[in-house]
Amino acid sequence: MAVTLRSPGWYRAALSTLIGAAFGCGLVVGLRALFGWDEIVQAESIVSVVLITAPLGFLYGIGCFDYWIHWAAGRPTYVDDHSDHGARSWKDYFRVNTDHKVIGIQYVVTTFFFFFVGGLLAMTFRAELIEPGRQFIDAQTFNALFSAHAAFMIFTFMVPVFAGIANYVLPLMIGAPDMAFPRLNALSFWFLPVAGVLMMASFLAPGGAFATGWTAYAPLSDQAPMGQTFFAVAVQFAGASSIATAINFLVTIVTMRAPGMTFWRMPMLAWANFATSLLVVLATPFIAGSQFMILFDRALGMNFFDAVQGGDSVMYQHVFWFYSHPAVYIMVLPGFGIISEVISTHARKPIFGYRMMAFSLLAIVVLGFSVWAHHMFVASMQDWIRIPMMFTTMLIAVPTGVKIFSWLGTMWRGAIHLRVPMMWALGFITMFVLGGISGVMVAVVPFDIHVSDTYFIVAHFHYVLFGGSMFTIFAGIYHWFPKMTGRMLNDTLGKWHFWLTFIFFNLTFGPMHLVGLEGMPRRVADYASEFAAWNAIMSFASFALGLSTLIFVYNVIVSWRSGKPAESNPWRAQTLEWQISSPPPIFNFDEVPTVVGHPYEYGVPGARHGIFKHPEPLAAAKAPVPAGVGDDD
Amino acid sequence: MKASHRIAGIVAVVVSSVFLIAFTYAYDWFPTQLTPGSGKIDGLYKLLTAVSIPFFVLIVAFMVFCLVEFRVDPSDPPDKDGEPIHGSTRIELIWTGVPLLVILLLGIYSWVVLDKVEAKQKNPMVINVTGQQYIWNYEYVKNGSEKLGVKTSSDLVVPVNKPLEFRITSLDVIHSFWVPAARLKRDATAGVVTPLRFTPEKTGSYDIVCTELCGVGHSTMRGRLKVVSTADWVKWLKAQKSGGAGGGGTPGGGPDGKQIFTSNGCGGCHKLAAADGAGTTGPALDGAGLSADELRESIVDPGAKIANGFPNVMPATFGKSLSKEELDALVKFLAEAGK
Ligand code: HEC
Ligand SMILES: [Cu+2]
Ligand SMILES: [Cu+2]
Repeated sequence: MAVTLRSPGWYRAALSTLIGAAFGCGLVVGLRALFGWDEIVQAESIVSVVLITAPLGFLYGIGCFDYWIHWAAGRPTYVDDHSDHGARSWKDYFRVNTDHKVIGIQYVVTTFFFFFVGGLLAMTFRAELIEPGRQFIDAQTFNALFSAHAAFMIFTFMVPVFAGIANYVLPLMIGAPDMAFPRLNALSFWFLPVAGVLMMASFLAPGGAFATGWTAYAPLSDQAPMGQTFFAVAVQFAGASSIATAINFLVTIVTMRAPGMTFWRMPMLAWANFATSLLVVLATPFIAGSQFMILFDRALGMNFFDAVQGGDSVMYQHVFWFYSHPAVYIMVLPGFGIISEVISTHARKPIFGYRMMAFSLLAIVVLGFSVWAHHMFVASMQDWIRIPMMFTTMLIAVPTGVKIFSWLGTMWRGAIHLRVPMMWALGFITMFVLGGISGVMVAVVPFDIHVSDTYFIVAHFHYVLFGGSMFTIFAGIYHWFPKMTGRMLNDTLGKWHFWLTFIFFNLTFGPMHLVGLEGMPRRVADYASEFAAWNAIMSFASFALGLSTLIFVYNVIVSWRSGKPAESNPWRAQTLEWQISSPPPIFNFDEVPTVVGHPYEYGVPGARHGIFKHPEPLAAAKAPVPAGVGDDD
Repeated sequence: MKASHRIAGIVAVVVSSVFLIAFTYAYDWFPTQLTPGSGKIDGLYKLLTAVSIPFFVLIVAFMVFCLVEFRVDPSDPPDKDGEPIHGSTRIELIWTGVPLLVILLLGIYSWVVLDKVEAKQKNPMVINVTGQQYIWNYEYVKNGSEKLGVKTSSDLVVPVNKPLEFRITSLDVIHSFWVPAARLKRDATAGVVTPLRFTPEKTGSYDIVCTELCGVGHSTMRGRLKVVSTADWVKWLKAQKSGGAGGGGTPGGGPDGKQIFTSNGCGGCHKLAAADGAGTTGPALDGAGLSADELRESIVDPGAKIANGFPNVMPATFGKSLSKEELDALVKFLAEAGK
C-alpha cells in the first residue's frame, strides 16, 4: 500500500486530491481568520479555491508532474526508458502516458464520452420542449441543461476531439517520432477529464448547475448560484489544455517534420492544425481572462461587470467573443484538414489548388480575429462597429468558399470510391454550405437584428458545428480507425449511421430556421403555442438522431474487438502514416522517412511522397530512439 | 456522359433553382409586418436566400455529377487513379473573385437597408423601457414636445402611425427587448441606454419577447404591444393618469392587486388560480394561507425567509419598483386570493 501511494496512479491521485482539497480549505479559512473577517467559513470562496487545488492535487497524484518535480528539486532525473510508451492493455489508457498515439486515443475516447453526456442533456431538454408548458423539468434545471449541453459539446468535445485526432495522426503524417513535448502533451490530456468532471459536479452544487448558457454573460453570471464557479474553473482547465496542445502542435510542426518535408509538402491536415493552433494560442487566453474576471467578481467582489459600481458588462461580451468567435474556427479548421485528406484519398486526385487551400486557412485565421462583435449587433455597444464587423464577417465567406470549391475541384475527373469516410465528407460539404449561407445572412446587420438570439441562430450554428464539424469528425474517425486500431470498421453499419444521422440531423435542426424567423427565442423552457407542432417534430427527430449514434458506438466496440484486420494502407493513400503498419510501431518509424514529393500525387506516374531509408548502422546499434526524444521539455 | 444526360442535368439545376427562389418569395416566413421597416427586412432576407440558392444547387449538382460520372466501378483496374490535375489559376481566381463581388454588393445593399430601417423620425413619442428580472417597465416620457409622465408595467399601449423611440436599459442583468412584428430588438443593459425606433402601422396586439437569457424566469418574460387608434390611446392615457402613478389602475378606484400581480410577472413563477398564474418556479400561492405581514415580507425581502425546497431566485427589486399603494393592493389581493 505504501508503495502504491508513493508511485503515480489512482491511489495516490485519490489521496492527493483530498490533500489538495484540504489545503485549499485551510488556506481560505486560515487567511480569513488571520484578517479577522466576520464569516470565517464562507462557502463560495472556499469552493473557488478548492476547485483549483483539488484538481492540481489529482494531476500530481496521477503522475503528470513527477518528472518535472524531480528535475526542479535538483534530484537526478531518471533516464527515460520509454517503458511508458505504447499501451499493452486497456489499463494503460488510464495512466499518464507520453506516447502521442496513446494520448490521441485517450483524447478521442474521453471526448466522445463527453459528447454522449452532452447529447443526453440535449435530449432531456428536447423532451421538456416537446409541448408548450412545463413537462417534467423546472426552469432552473432547464437552463442548467442547455448550458451544460453547450459547455460539454464545446469545451470538452468539439475543441479537444480535434486535438485528439491530430495528436494521433499529425506526428505520423509529418514523419515525427512523437510530439515535441510529450510530457506536456500528457498533461494537456489530463486537464480535460478534470474540466469535464468539474462541469458534471456542478449539478451537485447548491442552487444547481451553472445555468447562464455557455456564454455566461455578466452580470447574470456574477450573481448566479455556486454552480457558476464550477463552470468558470472548468473553463480554465479546458483552456489550459488547448493552449498547451496548440503550443505543442506548433513546435512539432515547425521543428519535427521529416527530412525533405517543406511547408509546401505538408499534408493539408498539418496545415489545418498549424492554422488552428495559431488561433488557439492567440485567442484562448481571452476566455480564460473573461472567466477569471467572473471568478474575481464572485469571490473577491471586484465589480468588473457591475454597472452600479462602475463596471461594464458590455466589456465582458467583447472579451468573451474575442475568443469565442475564433473558437468556431478552432472547431472547424481541423475538420477542413480532415476533409482535404479524405476527399483527395478517396477520389484519388491531388488536392485542387493546394497553395490556395493553405492560404485560405491563414486568411481565415487573420479575418477570424476581426469579426467578434457580430455576436453583439443588438448589444448595447456603439452602432458604428456593426458595419465593419458586417463586412469582415461576410468576407470570411470568400476563403471558405475557396475551400469548398477546391474540394469539389478535387473530385473532378477523380476515381471516386464512395466509402463511408467519403460519404461523411460529402455530407459535410452539403450541410456546411447551408450553415455558411445562413452564416452570411446573420452577418447582415438588419437581418441579424431580427433573428439574433432566436432559434434561427440555434439552427445556424448546429448546421455549422454538427452538420459541419461533427461530420468531419466522423469522416476522420472512419478514415483513420484502421490506422489507430488495426481493425476495419463495418461498412454496412457505417452507411446506416451516416444516412440516419443525415436525415434526422436535418429534421432536428432544419425547422429551427422557421420557428426562429417566426419569433421563437432561444434558451426558453417554455414557448408560445403557435410553435408547438414544429417543436414536437424537432424533439422526436432529436431522439432519433441520438439513437443513430448508438450504431456508431456499437460499430466501434465490435470492430475494435473483432473487426477485420486492417492492412497498413487500406485506402492506398500516399501520406506517411499509411506507409507503416496498422497500428503503427511503438516509435512510429522504424526507418526514418525522407520526403521527396507532394503528399497527393495520385495519377502522377512514379511519384512518391516519402521513401524509407534503413537507418545508418551506427544509429541502429543504439536504442531505436530518434535524437531529441526523451530529454526535452 | 451522354449529351441528353447533360441537358437533363442543366435543366434540373435551372428548374430547381427557379422553383426554390419562387418558393422563397411566395412562402410566408415572418410574423405580420407591423412597420415599414419590417417589409424591408423581409425583402432583404428573401434577396439573400434567392442569391444563395443557385450556389447551393450548383454545389450539390456538381457533387452528384462527379459521383455519377467519376465513381469507380468494378470493371476499372483496382489501382485506377484520377487525372493528376493540380489546380488552375484562372478558375481559382474566378471562384475567389465572383463571391467577393457578390458579398460586397450584398454588404453595401444591407448597409443601405439598415440606414433606412434605423432612420430617425420627427417628433417621436419617447418611451423609456426598463428591463428587470422578468418584467418590462415602461415610462411614457413625452409625445413630441408634450410631457406624458405615465408609468406602467403591464401592456405597452401605443397609438398607431406614431413614430416611437424607445430608450432601453435594465435594472439588473441583461435583457433584450424584441418586437418580432417590427423585426427589431435591442439589449437592455444596466448602465447603458440604447435607442430603438419604429413606427407601427397597424392596430392590433403583438408579442414582446425577451431574447437574452436573464435567469430562471427568462422564458416567462413575454409581454404585449397593443397598437390602438389615436382616440383610444388618448382615452387609455387619461385612465392611466387618473389611476395613480404606477401600473394598471382600476378606473375610479386605487391600484388593482390582481393586475399588479399579472403585470409584474408574478404568475410566471407562482401558481395562483385567481390571476391565471401557472408558474412553478416558486411556491403555489393558492391556499398558501399567508398573513398580510408574511406576504409583505416575502415580496419586499424575498431572501429573508426562503420557502422550503425552493431556490432563492425571486427578484428582490419589487420593494423598490412598486409604490406603497401598489404593494398594499397586491398584499390585500394575495391575502384574499391565497386563502
Ligand atoms: C423568478 C420567479 C419569481 C417571481 C417573478 C416572483 N417570485 Fe415570488 N417566489 C419565488 C420563489 C422561488 C420563492 C420561494 C423562495 C423564497 O421564499 O424566496 C418565492 C416566494 C414568494 C412568496 C412566499 C411564499 C411562501 O410560501 O413562503 C410570496 C408571497 C411571493 N413569492 C410572492 C410573489 C409576488 C407577489 C411576485 C410578483 C410581484 C413574485 N412572488 C414574483 C419566485 C418568484
Ligand atoms: Cu462569430
Ligand atoms: Cu430574458
